[in-house]
Amino acid sequence: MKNSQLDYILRIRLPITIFIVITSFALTYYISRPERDGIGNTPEQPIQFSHKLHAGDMKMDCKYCHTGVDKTRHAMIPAVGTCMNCHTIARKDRPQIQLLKTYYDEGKLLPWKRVHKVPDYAYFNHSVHVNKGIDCTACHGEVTQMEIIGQVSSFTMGSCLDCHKNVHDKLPELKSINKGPNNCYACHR
Amino acid sequence: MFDKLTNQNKIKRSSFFASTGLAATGFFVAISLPFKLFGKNGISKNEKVTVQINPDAVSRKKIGETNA
Amino acid sequence: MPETKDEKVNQSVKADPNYWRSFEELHRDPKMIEQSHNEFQQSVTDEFDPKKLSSFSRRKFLALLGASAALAGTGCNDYPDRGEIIPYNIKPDEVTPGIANYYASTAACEHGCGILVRTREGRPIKIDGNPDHPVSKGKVCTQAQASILDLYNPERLKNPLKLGGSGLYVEISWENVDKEIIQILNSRGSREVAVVSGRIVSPTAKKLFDEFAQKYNAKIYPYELFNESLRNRAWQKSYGGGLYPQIKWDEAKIIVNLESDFLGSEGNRIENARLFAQGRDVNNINNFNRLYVIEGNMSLTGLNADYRLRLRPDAQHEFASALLKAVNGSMSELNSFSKKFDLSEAALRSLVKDLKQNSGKAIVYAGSTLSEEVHFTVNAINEALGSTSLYNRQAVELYPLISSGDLVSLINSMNSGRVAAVIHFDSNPVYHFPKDLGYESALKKVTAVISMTETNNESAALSNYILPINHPLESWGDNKTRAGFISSQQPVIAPLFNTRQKEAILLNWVNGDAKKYNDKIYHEYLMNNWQSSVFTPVSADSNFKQFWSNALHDGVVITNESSSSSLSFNSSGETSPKLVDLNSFVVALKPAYSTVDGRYADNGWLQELPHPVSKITWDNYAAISRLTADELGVKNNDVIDIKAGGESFSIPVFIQPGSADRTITIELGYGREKSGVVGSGVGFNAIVLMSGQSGTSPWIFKASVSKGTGSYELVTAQEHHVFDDERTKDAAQKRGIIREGTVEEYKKHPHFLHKEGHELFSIYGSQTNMEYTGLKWGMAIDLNKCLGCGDCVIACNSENNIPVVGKDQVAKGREMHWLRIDRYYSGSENEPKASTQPMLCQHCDHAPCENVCPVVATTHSPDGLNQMVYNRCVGTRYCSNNCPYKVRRFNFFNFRDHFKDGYQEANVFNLIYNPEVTVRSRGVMEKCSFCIQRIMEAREDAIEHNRTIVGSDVKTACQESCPTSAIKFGDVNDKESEFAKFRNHQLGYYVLEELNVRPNVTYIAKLRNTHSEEA
Repeated sequence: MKNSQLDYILRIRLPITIFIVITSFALTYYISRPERDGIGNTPEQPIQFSHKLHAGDMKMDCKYCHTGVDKTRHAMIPAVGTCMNCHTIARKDRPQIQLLKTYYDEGKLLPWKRVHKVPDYAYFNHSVHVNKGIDCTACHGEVTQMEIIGQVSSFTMGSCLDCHKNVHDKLPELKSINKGPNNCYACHR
Repeated sequence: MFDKLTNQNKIKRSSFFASTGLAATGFFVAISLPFKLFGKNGISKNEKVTVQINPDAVSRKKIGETNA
Repeated sequence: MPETKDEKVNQSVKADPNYWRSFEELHRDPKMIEQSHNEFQQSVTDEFDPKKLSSFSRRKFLALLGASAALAGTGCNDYPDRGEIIPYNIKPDEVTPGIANYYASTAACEHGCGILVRTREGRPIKIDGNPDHPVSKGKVCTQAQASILDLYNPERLKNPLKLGGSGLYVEISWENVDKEIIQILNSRGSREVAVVSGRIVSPTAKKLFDEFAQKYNAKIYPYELFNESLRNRAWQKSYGGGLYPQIKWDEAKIIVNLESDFLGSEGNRIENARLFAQGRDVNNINNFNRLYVIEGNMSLTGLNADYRLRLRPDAQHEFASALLKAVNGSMSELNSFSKKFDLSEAALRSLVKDLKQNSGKAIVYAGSTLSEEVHFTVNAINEALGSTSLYNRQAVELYPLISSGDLVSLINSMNSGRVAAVIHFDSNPVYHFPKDLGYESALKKVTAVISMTETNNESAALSNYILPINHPLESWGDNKTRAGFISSQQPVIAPLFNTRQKEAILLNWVNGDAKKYNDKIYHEYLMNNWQSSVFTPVSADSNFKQFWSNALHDGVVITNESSSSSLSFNSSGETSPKLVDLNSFVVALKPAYSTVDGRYADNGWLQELPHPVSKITWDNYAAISRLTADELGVKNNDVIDIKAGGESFSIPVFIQPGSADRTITIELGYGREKSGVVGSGVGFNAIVLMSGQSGTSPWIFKASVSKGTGSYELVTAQEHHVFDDERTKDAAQKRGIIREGTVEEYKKHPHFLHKEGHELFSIYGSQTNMEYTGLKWGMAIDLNKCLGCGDCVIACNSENNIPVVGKDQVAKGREMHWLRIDRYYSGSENEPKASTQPMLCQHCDHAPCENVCPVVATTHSPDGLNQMVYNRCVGTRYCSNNCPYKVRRFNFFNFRDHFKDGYQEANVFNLIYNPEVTVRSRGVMEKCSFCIQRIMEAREDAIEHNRTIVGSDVKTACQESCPTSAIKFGDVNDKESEFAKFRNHQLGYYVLEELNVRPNVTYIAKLRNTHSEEA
């Protein structure tokens, strides 16, 4: 029996094409997701600073180091001098601390690898979030359990808007909070 | 007309690609070199500038506060 | 019928061969028949051997190419890498990244305003007025605001230079250059040392100059191209001594202005404008002042006059004499004057009547460029009117400027070798001195010429030593121009380059040892001087350190000095005027609105700021009247030749409505040759015409004028054929863009503006109106107070990182100013009435730009703003097409790269950008955002302190800088606020309201204070 061309197209070519299209979309979507929303970004840092030790076991407050978080747009990484507040004495024999000390003594730039980054055209403001009562863990996850700091939440615009629109579901502990703004100028100037 | 190719010599493909590659590289180099050599004099883009505060200056955080 | 090739072949072999292709075919050659069964001819494929083919097929090659490219692409790209984040090593206490610091300082110019510098992360980004300063009261002029650009000028000199043997400058260290110069100064013998500077306004610098003069037998020559010396000399003749007082413009009800641009470029124009505008308050209509302007060319003050008369400047003495006689009772001379000069008799009659009826609250004020005789006569008029109550005798002059006699004797000394060294103390005499004095050639006879300057200039180019100095924002100092207070100047940033403060250099030479220099010597000198001269007399504290710290914090210290005593007028100095020949041409030289006397030529913002009257950018021109242009046979942009004092000069022409006949008005401060990439070659240097002038005023003199050759394109930001075309004449008035009235009309009919009340037409009814229940931002601009000065434009440029585009792009209408001042004329070309209107994005409720963006890059916010999202914009420009106000600006190029070969891309230039505002690149549309970054800052502050934001928390950049407070900004929905009064004012109207775009900028109609109800 002679298979017509249409039959060939429908039975062989069409399913294969559809399969290839769907697979490539799905693969691209899942492979590129870390790039898009940044989840799992856990780069290696020049000094093996452990949040688990400092913020977790020693129960240091986030704001002791990240001082700008309730005053300004930027949360700020602490100055090397802040570390030396304790580490001129504390564990000064350890090699990592000595490495820290050389950065401080020589005035060298300490190049921490950036973990959480929102693109420059979005002007994220830490202080308005913190001053409304939103806890650091809501976006940054359980930092007190992280040996190496990494990103656990999605930082796409969609995720930000998702929380803005559904505040009472995402943050039920905050009773008197309003929905976040969803107009462009709130973040994009 | 295809039969002519068997009798004549075919292009040496390797040398064709080599020469076009070399031509392209040369083209881009020749375009960019004069800009680098006789470039924008006087305005050096990559000069390092350090910003430092004068420690003896007195600042204020808000616009309208006086000590008077 | 389609036949296959095989069939055809077979046919030709089989059937009757009516057609044959070869003899073989005809004769049915069997070999040919066999061959025809093969696809290829014989021996074509003989060499084809599949085994000999490369195992690498074309298909494989292409597949491999594609795959390796993809792999290389993914392999080379570390896309999760988010870069580095680097903290301070030791965080300075003052700096919190993200929060601005403010420093009070002074602009160190002769007008003595106090400034407040906003710094971010240790570097200044914006200069505003200091609200605590009694002179500036929070406002400051365009030059002060734009001077921040000079701090970050990539062409600033970075190291001291010495003229080498080969004629080139070589770098030299500070220690060496100090040593050499101290050596030169010490070995001067009996010769003198000359220091040429600008006006000295710093008491500490004066003290230093005195010490320097004593130690090195130096003479100080302070020189300014434009000065008040004629006015002050007349004052001294009239009253025996002292300086011309400040005028209490806010108390004056009648102001008669003779050739004085007191609102635009004369005196402390910020203070003048602020005080003047207090008499233009629509909510206090019975205390409206009236401004008469009699001038030779349309100036900023003339734009805002209630009555304006054109009079050539050399006739002002005749006029003042006639006015004096009229005020004393006899109108006859004034009447014949008005006939001779073709002035409106009615206007002059009302002028005299107003002056007489408002004695004690009327003032006649003459311009700085007018002769001593005019000033004397004007003083006499004011005495007769009792205007002395409006005088505020506060002015203090620390060091008198040199006279032309001093200048001549200096050059004689230089020529005869009696001057060992000339020091240019941040001055540019080669450019500023009149050419005929021969300063340039006299310099050659001086062995050591030392120039202290920030950037290269004409004088530095002829020097032996070029010493780079600190910008005022990097300097310590003080400033005293008035009695009653003293201002302090502090550095807001450490010097960016290897420069020193000019006073510190001089102090080091006074101390005599090059090795003993340290960064703090002038700081300590200043503190010591304050401790002895300011602190001890004034304070209640006993702690100088605390006092000093407070002084720096506030920027000003109020001292208890009383103003001078009473005045007795000496009328014996009255002279009779020389009568003017109406057939002669007179040249009037004025300071430039932008570059002042040329010192700001290298400042892109000022060069691109449109001239307030002509809206011309980047050049100067000769302003003449239509009649004079026709007489000379020139049109706009044609060049004319001017001959005066033995010199000749060519300049293009601009026909200025309202200019007096046979009066050529030219601004000085252009035509710099050695200024820098931005300023060199811009405009025409008319200082050459000041040579050989021996008349009563160095700035007003006779000349002979003729048509020159060629033409020169003058680029204006607005059209200048207003009066030519019937269709466009008065378009602004006909279309309701400018709506005006008079004070009389408003008093009688307060609702005259809206008497034909109309409902805005909308086919959708009120259903589509979005309800703004919360805070909604709006703006109101009071056109009575807006003078058209342009301070708001420069403030917006500074706040919003607006690029300079250059003359060629402005010619295409591509200037990037988000806020522009439109100037409209009505009336006749000779007696025009001018109206100014700041135009910015109206943030329309029904914005026509929002609907048409194909990528939804511009939307509307719930607080009433039209949002522009740069990262989404693809550059379709449909929005700009739809905007009826044409306030959207498109980045046709990355102007930072395009202008002057990337001048704006230098590392040091990038320090000026406001970090809260995006720096836009090519292909993106931008427009006024109602300073969203300031709104967001206010919201952040409100949330931090747990309060709700109110409309008055936010001041936009333009609002903050307007010296007359014409711009008001606030919450439309807050009925109790100050702003609401203007939003709902009966004089308020919207521009192009009938388009139903619902703009949110209310304009308060201008009321002219004339005697009748008609404007």
